[in-house]
Amino acid sequence: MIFTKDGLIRLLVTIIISVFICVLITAIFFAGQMEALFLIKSVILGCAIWFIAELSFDFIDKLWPHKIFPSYAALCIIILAGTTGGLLLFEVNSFAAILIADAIALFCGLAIAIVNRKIYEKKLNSHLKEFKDKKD
Amino acid sequence: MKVRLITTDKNRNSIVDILSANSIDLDDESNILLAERGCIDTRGCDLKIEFSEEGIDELINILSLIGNETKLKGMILGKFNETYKPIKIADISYFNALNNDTYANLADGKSYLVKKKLYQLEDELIGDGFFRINKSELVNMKKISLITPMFKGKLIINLEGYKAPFDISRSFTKAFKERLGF
Repeated sequence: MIFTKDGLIRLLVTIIISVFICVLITAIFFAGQMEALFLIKSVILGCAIWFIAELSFDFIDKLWPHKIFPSYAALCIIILAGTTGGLLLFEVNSFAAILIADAIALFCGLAIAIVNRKIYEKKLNSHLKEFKDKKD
Repeated sequence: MKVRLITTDKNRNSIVDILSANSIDLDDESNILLAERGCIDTRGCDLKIEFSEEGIDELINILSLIGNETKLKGMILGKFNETYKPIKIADISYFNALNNDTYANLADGKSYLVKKKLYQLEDELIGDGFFRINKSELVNMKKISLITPMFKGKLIINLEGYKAPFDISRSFTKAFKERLGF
């Protein structure tokens, strides 16, 4: 199922992040002059990214249920699409700026995903070990 | 329980003694036939258990399991190639349901047909460390060698002796983590 409770929580988080980024950028680069249209566009972009992510991860899970690399590849595409879309939304048209921002976003996004997943995996397996030791 | 016994004269007395000690009576009209290898009269029987002289001990184990449900603690009776065998619950890696049948799968790759349904086993074996991971599989958590988290909260597990991983359905993930004390 695509639209699970967890998926809807992710949507809410995406909207909050979109609003936060929009407010931050307008405060820094537009001297605090918030344009309502920017905010709406930012939220719509966030929702679109959420929707694409939910669909693509589900699709990948059906095609390669036991492989993690296709999901990381999808994550890369989503990060690039989100960053590029966001920059274009804020009328940043410099190719170099987009390239640098994409590279930074990709590095940070992947690093966060990989490190989080590794920590989670380690915790799960240490709980499993404790469970097995207790049962023995 | 009553059985029809066909055996050599040499082994007859000792088997009769062991059977009677396990509350199993002899009856030539019984549909359950105990036949020693080489004695092939199988007329009119619904169940034939063939044994060899070397397998008498195991035969008695099986008969005592059939005859007395309370002795099933820690063991389950599995069927493989028309042969029944008592299996230690602790040796079972996972149970799976397939076409209305339930199978007990061991780490060596052998599958035994078992009588009970998956939901019955789930209720009975919860204290033995078994956990339902999806609608058709019940795994022995002590046989899990690795848990791998995937995207969107899905978990997959590897069992000792099995190359292919097993999926934990998203609806079972929360309960699985709670079971681990996570």
